[in-house]
Amino acid sequence: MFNHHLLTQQQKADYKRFREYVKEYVEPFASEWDKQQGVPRSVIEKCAEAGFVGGIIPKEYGGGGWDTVTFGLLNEAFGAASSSLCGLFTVQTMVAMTISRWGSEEQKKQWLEPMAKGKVIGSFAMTEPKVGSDIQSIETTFTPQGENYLLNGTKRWITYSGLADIFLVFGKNEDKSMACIIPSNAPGVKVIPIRDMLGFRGAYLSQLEFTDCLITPSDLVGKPGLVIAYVAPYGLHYGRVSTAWSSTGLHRACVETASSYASERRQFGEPIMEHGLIRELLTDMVVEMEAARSLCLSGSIADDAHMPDAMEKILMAKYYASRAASRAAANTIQAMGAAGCHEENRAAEYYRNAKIMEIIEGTNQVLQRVLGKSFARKYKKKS
Amino acid sequence: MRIDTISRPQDTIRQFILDSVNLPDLDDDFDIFETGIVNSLFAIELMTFLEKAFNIKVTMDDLDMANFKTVNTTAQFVLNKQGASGV
Ligand SMILES: Cc1cc2nc3c(=O)[nH]c(=O)nc-3n(C[C@H](O)[C@H](O)[C@H](O)COP(=O)(O)OP(=O)(O)OC[C@H]3O[C@@H](n4cnc5c(N)ncnc54)[C@H](O)[C@@H]3O)c2cc1C
Repeated sequence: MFNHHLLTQQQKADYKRFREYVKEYVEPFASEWDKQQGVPRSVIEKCAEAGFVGGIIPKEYGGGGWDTVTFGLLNEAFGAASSSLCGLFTVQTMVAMTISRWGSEEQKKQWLEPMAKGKVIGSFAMTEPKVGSDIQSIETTFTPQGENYLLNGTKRWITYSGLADIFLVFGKNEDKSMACIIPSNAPGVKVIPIRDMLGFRGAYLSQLEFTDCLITPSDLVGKPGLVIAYVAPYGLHYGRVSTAWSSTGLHRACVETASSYASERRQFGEPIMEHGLIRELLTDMVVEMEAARSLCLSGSIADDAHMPDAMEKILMAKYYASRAASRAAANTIQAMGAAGCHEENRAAEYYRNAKIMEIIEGTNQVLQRVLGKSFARKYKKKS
Repeated sequence: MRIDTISRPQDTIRQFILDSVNLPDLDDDFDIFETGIVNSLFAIELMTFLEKAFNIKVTMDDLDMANFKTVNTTAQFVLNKQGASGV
């Protein structure tokens, strides 16, 4: 149990509730969702009824009004059992928090309430076939037509877009970055499912094609020209909160799996746990899990206190937690030998999903680029 | 973090920027975004700082790079915001 002294009584109680829910309604079925490549809509509806899909949305729009720490704890609890289901909390929150911060009052009323109830699912559509990390270069266009715009372009690898009701789409009008909300059933929108991903197999990734979709000024989110600087980072920030915490959940699942196996599996006349090298693996896994949790907690507490360095702290948490989870997953397979290499054991699924954590919400190389530059400045001695 | 707002807004804002970029000094008319001394996170960090330090809420209508170009324009923006809300 994650029972940190910095958590409030309420946060501890919420975490306990999340863990109990996951044990009953997620753990027994998650492997099947991965194999079938889709989390059933009924599972999402049940999560919505429990208040998990819109937990962080402000209360005035029907959400749970949770703090960032509580949202993080949700991701830790669910991330240990199903990265695919957790991906829903990631993208729903990325879209909802962007609307909550930068949307018009009409957009908040129209979208946040149904999103809070899970009646509307949102996807965050940034990546394109030719543009991933270099988001300044996105090629999707908003072409002016009178006071409206025509949206054209292709988005790829968009989590939950196969199920979503609305997309938050990023593009450009000449050199001005823009974003809009568009319903998935709007004329000119085509959704092409992507199957057989390495991880996040149940998360309905799709390619989206927009052909001459009519966008009115009331559909736009944020001011043209300021979307890459202000709007997108806000959504990505909450995506990283989710991914960082969900990585620590996945990490915990690895630790639990490796410890159980190492205690039971016998070689050379004793449980493999008795061998020094296996102990070393487990020691590193648990120490790194604690370090990742501390970074997640520190970043989320900073976010709740509205501290200017919260975004950087969350970048660090995502960077560290995703790498640590990947190492833990690889070590779990190592500790299990051949048994870890077969899909009948969840370790293989953890390994596949952990790799994804190092790629989404900014690859770890791109985070190194941002953080490295910032740290070099921050820590150089003043002459 | 303790945020001291008793001094002039210029001093508070300059100190925040200096701490962020680790420069010995900064002219109040120096364009902080043009010159590449800050990273891609800084626009939001500065906005979050202003909201917390001066108890204001930056809205979409306020988002204009001209408002946050220099220490002086940022201070003027804060004063206008405070004037408008009667803080
Ligand atoms: C499961 C999954 C879900 C996803 N969900 C979404 C979603 O919901 N919405 C969305 O918009 N996108 C989504 N993505 C896309 C994801 O955001 C991108 O994959 C990611 O931003 C990287 O882009 P890319 O894959 O095009 O890689 P590229 O940008 O082409 O990078 C390829 C490699 O080069 C490295 N690299 C690139 N630039 C640099 C540099 N300057 N310095 C050093 N190394 C560099 C990268 O780290 C990477 O290793 C998802 C991806 C996956 C796998």
